[in-house]
Amino acid sequence: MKIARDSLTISFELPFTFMEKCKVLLDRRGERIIALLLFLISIASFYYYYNNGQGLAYNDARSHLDISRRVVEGLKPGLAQIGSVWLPLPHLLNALTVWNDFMWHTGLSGAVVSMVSFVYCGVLIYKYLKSLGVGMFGRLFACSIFTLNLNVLYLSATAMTELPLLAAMTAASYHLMLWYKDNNLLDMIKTALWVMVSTLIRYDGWFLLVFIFATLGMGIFRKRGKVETEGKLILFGTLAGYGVILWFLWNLLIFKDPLYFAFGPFSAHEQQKGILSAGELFTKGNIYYSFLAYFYATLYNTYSFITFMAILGFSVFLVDKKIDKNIKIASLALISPFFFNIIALYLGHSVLFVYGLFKDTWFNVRYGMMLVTGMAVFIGYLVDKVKDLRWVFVGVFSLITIFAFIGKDAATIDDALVGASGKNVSEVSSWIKKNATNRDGFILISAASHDAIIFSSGLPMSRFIHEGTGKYWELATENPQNWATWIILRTNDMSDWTFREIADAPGFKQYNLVGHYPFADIYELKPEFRSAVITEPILGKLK
Amino acid sequence: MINKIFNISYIVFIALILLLTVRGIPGNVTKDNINTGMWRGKGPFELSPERGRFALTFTLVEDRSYQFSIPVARFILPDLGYKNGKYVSLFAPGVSLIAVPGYVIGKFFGLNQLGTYLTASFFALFNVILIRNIAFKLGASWVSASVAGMVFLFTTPAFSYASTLYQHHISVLLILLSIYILMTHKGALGIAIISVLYCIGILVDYPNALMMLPILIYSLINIIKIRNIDRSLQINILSAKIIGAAACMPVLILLLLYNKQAYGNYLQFAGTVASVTEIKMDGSPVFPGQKKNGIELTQEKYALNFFKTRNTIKGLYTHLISPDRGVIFYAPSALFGIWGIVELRRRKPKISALIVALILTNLILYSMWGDPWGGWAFGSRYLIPSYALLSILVAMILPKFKNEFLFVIAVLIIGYSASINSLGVLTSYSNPPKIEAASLSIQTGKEEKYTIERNIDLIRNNESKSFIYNSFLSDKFSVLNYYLIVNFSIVFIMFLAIVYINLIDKEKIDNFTKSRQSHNYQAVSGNYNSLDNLFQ
Repeated sequence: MKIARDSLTISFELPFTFMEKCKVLLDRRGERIIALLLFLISIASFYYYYNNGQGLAYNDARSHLDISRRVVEGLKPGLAQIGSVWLPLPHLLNALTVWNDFMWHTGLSGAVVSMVSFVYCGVLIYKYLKSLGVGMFGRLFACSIFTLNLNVLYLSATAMTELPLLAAMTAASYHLMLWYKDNNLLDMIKTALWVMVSTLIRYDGWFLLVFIFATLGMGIFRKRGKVETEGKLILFGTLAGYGVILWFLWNLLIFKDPLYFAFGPFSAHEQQKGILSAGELFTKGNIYYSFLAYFYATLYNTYSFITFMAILGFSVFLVDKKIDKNIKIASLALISPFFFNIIALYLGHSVLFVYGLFKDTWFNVRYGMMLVTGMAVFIGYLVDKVKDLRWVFVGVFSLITIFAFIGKDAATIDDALVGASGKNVSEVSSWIKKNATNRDGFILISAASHDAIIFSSGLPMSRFIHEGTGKYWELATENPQNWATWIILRTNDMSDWTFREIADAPGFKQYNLVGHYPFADIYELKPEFRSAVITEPILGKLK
Repeated sequence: MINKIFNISYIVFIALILLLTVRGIPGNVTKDNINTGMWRGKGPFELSPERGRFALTFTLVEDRSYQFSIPVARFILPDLGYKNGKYVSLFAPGVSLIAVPGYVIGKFFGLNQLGTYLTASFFALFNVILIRNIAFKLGASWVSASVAGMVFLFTTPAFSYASTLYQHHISVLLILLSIYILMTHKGALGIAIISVLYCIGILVDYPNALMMLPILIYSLINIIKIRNIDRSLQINILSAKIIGAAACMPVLILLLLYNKQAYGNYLQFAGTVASVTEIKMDGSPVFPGQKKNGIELTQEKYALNFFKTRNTIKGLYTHLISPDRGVIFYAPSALFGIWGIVELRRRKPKISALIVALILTNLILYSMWGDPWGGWAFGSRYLIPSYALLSILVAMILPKFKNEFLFVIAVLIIGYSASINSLGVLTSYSNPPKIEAASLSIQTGKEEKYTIERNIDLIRNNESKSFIYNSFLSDKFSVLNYYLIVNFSIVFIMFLAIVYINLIDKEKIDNFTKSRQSHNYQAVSGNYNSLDNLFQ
């Protein structure tokens, strides 16, 4: 370092070798560096949300953990506990660690899956842009867009399915783009594998399957003709559709109806019926409302300007003559959630409330987060393309992000805490925890309605008799006084399966109402009948 | 000679229009008459932001104090602060300090309110000149650049705020002047001036700290020079420029001293003190949500919490497309500037990036603001800096309206914008937000309008706030006729200019511009080159 007093200049030199080493390291190990950074961020994120008590704010997060736990522990453990409503892969992945009480009750067994997915999403964004020829600046900026979003960070720290789905869908899109770019059959097989994975995570993946199948068909047909199109589509379809076939088969074997997941009593279709009858399925049959609801959800998940930047990037990407048409078509897979969600809302298969739009509440607003990897890719491309404005984009993004962090702006957390997704069941679960922990006896409860209570009580799964416990459930709903010391249900609500089953049971009269709460009531067997109640799992493995 | 006549005529015309529209009534404001109807309500002090700033100027001059006496405090409500048992201002002090000379001169003539308000008009005039000069330096012809100045002042809500004591025109001046300095002064002096202007900006309006940040960053990049020498990278930090940047310290110290004097704490900023909703008969304050016999509540306010990303969607809608404030209704002429960005990017990519950064910062910042309507206002007043910057860009595309269709569209939009904004400046800029108008309608039992319809009703009722009209012309013709005269003058002059640019003497303008710009380039050649090479 030199200080030249005459010209009032401080100057120092960096040797090129050092600079070159840094550049080479970043070029060669960029993906690993990104992975490491994102890994550290995901740990910090989990730690933060776990400590502030928001880590399991979504009732669905607790349900996902309970479903996995029931596979390994409970009155009737086994794979059948995976059920029919939610697709099985997240629960199977959670089940690998959920047997451990710490992993179950901290939510870590689900969060780990989300955290790994988060890291993989970041790496995929980096690799996607690298394959498109985007420079280091654009790649790193795109990773920042994805990472420095509180909605993404929150969902990476909880046991929800958004991040795993996003990772699978982005991976499928990435390999599809590579296949178009390099025409390597292995990439197509990888695309099919990732599509299969996504079809086993959420039904969004099923749309991706159709979407990629169609775009792939068009792409191959344009280049190679009918014969090759047929062959490659069969190869792709067989592999990518394998998960879907398995799911139909599962439903047929376990529930005796291949479409049980779609039209069964716990299906989204049934839930939507209730919302429809209440006149609140605003988007059904209205394409404008469907678009508006999803667009707003996207805006809230991305602080608005990110969406507008992404739209600009996408437009520039589409008109860029240097990019092959097939790659453009392949990249549409990144925005397939946009089409899926609007169609699902229009058909009434999905429901989404954005605060102030149709109703003053949040519900499922996290769906808007599904476009964030696509947005990151298109913004990364944009800053690479429009070099003279790249610092403007960086500045705008920094401004928004700083204020988002100061204001702790995460619509997904509001969705969980104040929306319909986040009923506060702590009063019921606290009562049960306090009064049932040190006493013997089963608790009769509907897992479909009250899984969050089961989780929050902190009691072992084997203390609960629910719909998935086979003979226990049948016997307990016929003669509750013989099996259940406590019953948790919503009195007079026929959508609560426990109440529906025992409303007319004579034994129900042998219970006292000991707790009345907004989301459930607690009944306790009267003292004079307690001596006859069964408190041990006597049916064992017979049933 | 022709050039000089053109310049003088242009400035005289702008000044004349500003004089014809400035708000006021004859007489001096005193503590005895400050709360009477002649000043408030139907008088020139319509809203609390102008009352708050005027009151501080008044108190500084008359009481030699930073804290308000009870009558002055009552005048300011509901934008009144309370700290350490004293009534204080909720506004940054810069505007009030800058308005002191105008107040003193006005007071000398028995017109202290008018003198204070003319301060804003003076700044508005200076802004027009700056827009004209910047546009010219960026390659527009003198006529196009002149029209750009008028587009800013007469066809956007900036017009309404040129006749009263708000912060907007002063902020715009600081932004434009910084850009101008950036283009003309490369060395330590340039950085020194820009850093001083930046700090004055904070003194005028705290959000300017973020609004003007792109300019500050842009200028500070000059401090570091990177060169490739002999397989190594030489990084030079020009300490003379660092010293230049430190020139802002006196202004910062002034701000901190003001905070100490007014609020008893160097780091207590105006907007963060407890606000008062009412003053009791005994002079004690009533705080929001507090019972009248209660004690002073702690109102926790943090400067950065005023901006929330959650507000962005509502803010964007309000600023851009809402009928009560949206740019497309109140300043569509400024939208031509978006096309201008494309043009300027080709010629001056670096400076166009700075302008885009400033516009986006302005839009983002005030979209996050909890009250994007700006209270009762005319158009989106928070976007006045963007109107100025977009007007510079309008100059770039004015010669592009050669196509008949485009020409007609441009003339119609500019004419419409001028007519709308003349309504605001001559009648009232206190239009309620739609949401407030709805609840107000329930209270008053009559329809409360929230768009320019409200201003049209005022014209029909022969109500104007113009000092000149009310003092000298009200018995000669109606407000409607006065409006038509003012508006016709503006639209006619602008129409002539656009016709001239596009249809009459294109070649002559081009030659004239080229000769002027080559002369100008010679004068600042080094600066220009360095500006365009800033990031290379």
